[in-house]
Amino acid sequence: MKDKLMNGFLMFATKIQGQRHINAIKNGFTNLMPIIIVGSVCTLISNVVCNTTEGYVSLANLPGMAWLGSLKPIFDAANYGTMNMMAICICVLVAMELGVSLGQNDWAIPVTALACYISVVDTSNGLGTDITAAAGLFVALMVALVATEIYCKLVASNKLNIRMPESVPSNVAKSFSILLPAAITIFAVSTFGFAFKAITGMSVPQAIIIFIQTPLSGIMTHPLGILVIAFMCSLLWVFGIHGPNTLNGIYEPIFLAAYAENEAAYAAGLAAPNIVCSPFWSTFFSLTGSGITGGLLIAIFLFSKRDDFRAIAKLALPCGIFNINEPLIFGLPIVMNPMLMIPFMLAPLASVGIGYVLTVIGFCPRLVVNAPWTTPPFLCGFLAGGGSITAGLSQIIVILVAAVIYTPFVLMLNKQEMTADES
Amino acid sequence: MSSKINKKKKSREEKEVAKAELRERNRQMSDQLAAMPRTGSMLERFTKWRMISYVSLILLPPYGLYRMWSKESTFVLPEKVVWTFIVIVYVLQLLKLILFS
Repeated sequence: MKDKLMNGFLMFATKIQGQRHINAIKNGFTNLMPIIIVGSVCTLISNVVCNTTEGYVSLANLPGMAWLGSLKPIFDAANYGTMNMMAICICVLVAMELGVSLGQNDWAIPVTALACYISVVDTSNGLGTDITAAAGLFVALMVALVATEIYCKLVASNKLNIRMPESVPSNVAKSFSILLPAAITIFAVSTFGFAFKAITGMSVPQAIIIFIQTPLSGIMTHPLGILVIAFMCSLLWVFGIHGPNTLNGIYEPIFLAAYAENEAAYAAGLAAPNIVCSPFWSTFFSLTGSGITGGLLIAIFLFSKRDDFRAIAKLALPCGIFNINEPLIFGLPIVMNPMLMIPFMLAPLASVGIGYVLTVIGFCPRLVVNAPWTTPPFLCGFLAGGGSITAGLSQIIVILVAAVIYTPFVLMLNKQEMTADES
Repeated sequence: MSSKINKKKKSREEKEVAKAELRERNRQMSDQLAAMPRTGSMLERFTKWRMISYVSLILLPPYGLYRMWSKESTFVLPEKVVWTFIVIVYVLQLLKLILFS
């Protein structure tokens, strides 16, 4: 029975991780993450350090620190260059990743994908933030995938290459050889966009937002939706498969788009609209690593009488503070361990649920900064909440609840070892 | 009676064979998953060298670009392209904020 279950999960994980498009999205977002974090930190500095608006809690409002306000343009401009260019960046990154997986490492791929994206959006008011920022993220992603597939298939067919004489320099010859595939791809996508609008009355981006992005966002940012994602990630870990790594190609675009809305609202001095977003995930699911194993470490140090557990916990503690818990998952192990897999799956569900409730009641603010995922607990919450102590305290509460969840199982494992010693 | 016992023995043996085949398939799939190419984990994007590069790209863009495009750089081509585009947009926006506000 265990082997059949394992077989089922392995097949599921293999299919997801081997799927070219999900891989391209995942790798694209991995490359995008430093950009997002830099943008988030710039937003934080701009609002918490350099903001001279009266009534704001800001370092620049302290006596003698008003000069910090003159540095605000630097961080505002950096925030604009990063967060407001998200859709353009993801279009380029995903197109290049998909191109590499299709065996083509060509500069024309991201350029063609970008041209296709610009051709389907409404540019009557220029390239506004509704096109370049998070609002266009999902559309840019889908156009990048489609355009890259078409382009690579045309290039691979070899029938559209314009062959130049050998006397022509190689870079010029290369430009001509990709001219027809790139032109056909751009015209095809542009014509499709035009025909779609003529037939349906709405543009392709509008249709994607109405029929795909909004329902998907509604499901994944719903409390039940995030609980299901947390459960699936933990379940995959229990079988030795990196859950978040496997599934983040599916949930990351939605969470990031939700976060970008929060960040834009925060930068404008408005209330953040979304509870479930990318920083919520890293604050309440990835806290001390998957499975909230910070709670397990506390339970082991307080209650475990097993020398092997205490030794592994001591080794895993320095990494665990920075949300890296592979030593614990594979060292105890938690993988395929029936006693520890139950709290390992329950703790993140409790954490995400408690985090959601604390946010709804107003104790924890809606999260507006994407802190680096290796930021230690409390500091991560503090930064993610835009300098909120209650957000940091929410993380501490969640770790203590996780410790309570893990404790009975640690005590059972003590008893198990004592019984084994006696026998 | 003995044929019933033999049938039970055979079905137990068949089950054992099926279990062994399933375990072997699981092992092969685990190996397949482990061998899948990865473009690098999140940790590789937040090394000390990288974090200094990100800070340089914002506070000292020419030096940041130099670090990013140098031979010792750990940035892959997609990251280089996107970061260069970001720095261009950032510098233009900064000039606009300084000169026109």
